[in-house]
Amino acid sequence: MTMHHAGEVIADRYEVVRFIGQGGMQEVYEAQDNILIRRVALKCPKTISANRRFARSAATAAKINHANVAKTLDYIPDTAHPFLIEEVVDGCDLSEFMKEHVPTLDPYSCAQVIHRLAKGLAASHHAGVVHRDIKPSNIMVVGGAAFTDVKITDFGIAKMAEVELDHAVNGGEEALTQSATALGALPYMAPEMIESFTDAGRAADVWSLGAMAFELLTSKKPFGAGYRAVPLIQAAVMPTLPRDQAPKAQFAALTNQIYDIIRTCLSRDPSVRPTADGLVTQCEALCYSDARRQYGFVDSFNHRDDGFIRTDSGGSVFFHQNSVPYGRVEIGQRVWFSRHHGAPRDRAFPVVRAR
Amino acid sequence: MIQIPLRYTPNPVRSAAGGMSRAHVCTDRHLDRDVLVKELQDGVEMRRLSDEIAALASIRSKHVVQLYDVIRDVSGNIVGIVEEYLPGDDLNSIIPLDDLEKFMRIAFAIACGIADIHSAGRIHRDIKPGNMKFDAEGCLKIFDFGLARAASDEAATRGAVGTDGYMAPELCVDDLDEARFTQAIDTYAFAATILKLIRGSLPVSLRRVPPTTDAQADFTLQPLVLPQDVAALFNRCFATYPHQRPAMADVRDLLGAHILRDRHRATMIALGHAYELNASKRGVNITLGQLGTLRLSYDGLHFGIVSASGQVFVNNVQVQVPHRLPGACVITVGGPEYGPKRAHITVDVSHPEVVL
Repeated sequence: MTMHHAGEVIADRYEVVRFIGQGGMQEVYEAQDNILIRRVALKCPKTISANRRFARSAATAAKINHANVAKTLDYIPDTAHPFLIEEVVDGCDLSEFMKEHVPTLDPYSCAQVIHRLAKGLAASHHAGVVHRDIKPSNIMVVGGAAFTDVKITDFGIAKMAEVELDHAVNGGEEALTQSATALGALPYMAPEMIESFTDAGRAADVWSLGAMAFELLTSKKPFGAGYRAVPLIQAAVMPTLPRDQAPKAQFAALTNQIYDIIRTCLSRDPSVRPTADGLVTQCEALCYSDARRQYGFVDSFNHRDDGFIRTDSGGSVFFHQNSVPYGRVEIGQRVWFSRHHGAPRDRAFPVVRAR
Repeated sequence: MIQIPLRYTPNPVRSAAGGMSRAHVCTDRHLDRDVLVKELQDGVEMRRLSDEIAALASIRSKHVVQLYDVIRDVSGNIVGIVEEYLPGDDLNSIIPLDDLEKFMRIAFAIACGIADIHSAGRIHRDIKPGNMKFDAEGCLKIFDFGLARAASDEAATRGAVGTDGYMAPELCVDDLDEARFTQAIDTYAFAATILKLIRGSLPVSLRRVPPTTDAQADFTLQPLVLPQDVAALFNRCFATYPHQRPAMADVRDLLGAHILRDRHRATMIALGHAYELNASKRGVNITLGQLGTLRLSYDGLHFGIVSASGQVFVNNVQVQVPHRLPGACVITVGGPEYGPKRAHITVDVSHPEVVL
């Protein structure tokens, strides 16, 4: 049961269109701004106790202005029912993208995502804002399945959840498993956040970005999930790339560069990690292709290692197993790829598994 | 002065003056941040303000200032707008530019912004250095959409509107005549804007009515030496006939390609060996056993096949050497008669991403 319904008009201006989803602390709706005639995202806290922190978290987020951070547009300071109005992102969050569309990104798109998120994070750190809850469900994917850009959202949400998180992380296994918010955040939490959530600073965001990048590259959380992740995070032993995911020749150099960046982000000592600016500088040196992606499925094989992909738009493109970053794809496999001109058919490169 | 709602508290330390409207820096008490409140001036048509609102709301670009709110009078008429406040000076504060790399990056950002405006179906109509600023993150923002018009409207206006020196020839008509215009007026104003960035001031010829272009407005003859194809494309932006001017997306793409000059990398895999081409390794010979040798090169913008022994195919299409590579591709050496002995070389082209 949601708190608001379609058609409801808030502050004589925002008309609720539909319920989008909810996190531990707030509900999110899509609404129509009847004054500026545009779609917006409307957020409201789920509990009265969260309301106090809501205004501060809104003002915190409003200080950041960057293309890779969802923009704060307005705030309705109603004591009983405050609302935050944000730029709407037509798409889904990164957690949903990995669950529903592409579980493991190729190193090119992975590099691009890390680069853009590092830019967004650098802008927020310049504005003096620490996110403290960087995780896939707080990253919006513009275009959803089409994946055209990424934006960090929910700055200040960690402030709202601070008490709950601190209690859960320090309360042992039972307290932790009772808090959905803490369980969701834990795999991306820096060691110093586990010791004292409230004291965590900018370097904790860099850790979280690194942990998330590892998952994008391998579809595995670097230290696992649940309570058993706690000692592993505290030990901060950088996990190796899964053996069955060793990149093929074409992808090895970039994969290793990304892995090295992730390793510095996951340093136990916060002062050894790169700053967000330092991360941007490292990403600027990465070479990747930004060709648009599309979907299809493996249709047939020509020889043992090459064959054809039937695209969702109806055509057929050539591909080779060497263009799949690791492993093989078989007939019927759904894939995500970029398309390059060729004859008699275009050529797909790179090709990764999709759902 | 209009009645500004209590939500916005005038910030006495900062002040600003806009072109068509008066502007006040205020603190938005709901979000504790500075905003710019622009009011409609006496005697200026309401149409201008509503044009600005429609324009800003329809464009999604990181190079266009963000609109937040409107202000109405007691009768409900819109009398002001509230938008993102950008501290700092406009682009006039950084001229003249004598550093080519910096100039190319700024010109690229301006071209990106105007291309975004045009792809949203809008015409800005007052492109000039005074209507652009950098935000705190160094992102160029275009503002003052007071004259913006939808490209699909009957784009015509009585008399000349715009800023002297930046107005395309087709806008210079007698006060009672109708001026018809397209997005190409922004392309013309773009050229005037970047000419000012290079020279520090606009040549007299551009200020004439109608404007003309002489040697002083020739991009191939400026103190800052531009790449030839860039200078030639900029010159076309000054074309007398609007349809002869390039699309801003094309200007953007050419500038983007030059910013990446010498920064591309090609990785080739042949017979299990990896080869690389980049600015410090501009040529490579790949030996293919009985099929001979394939020579590839990098000229700073593109990769190409320089020479090969025997027939060469790119993505399965036979090509004549020398041949420019289309980006990521597979080169095949040897005709079909070689069957499984043909050599396949995968080429992967990548580059750093320019995120401005």
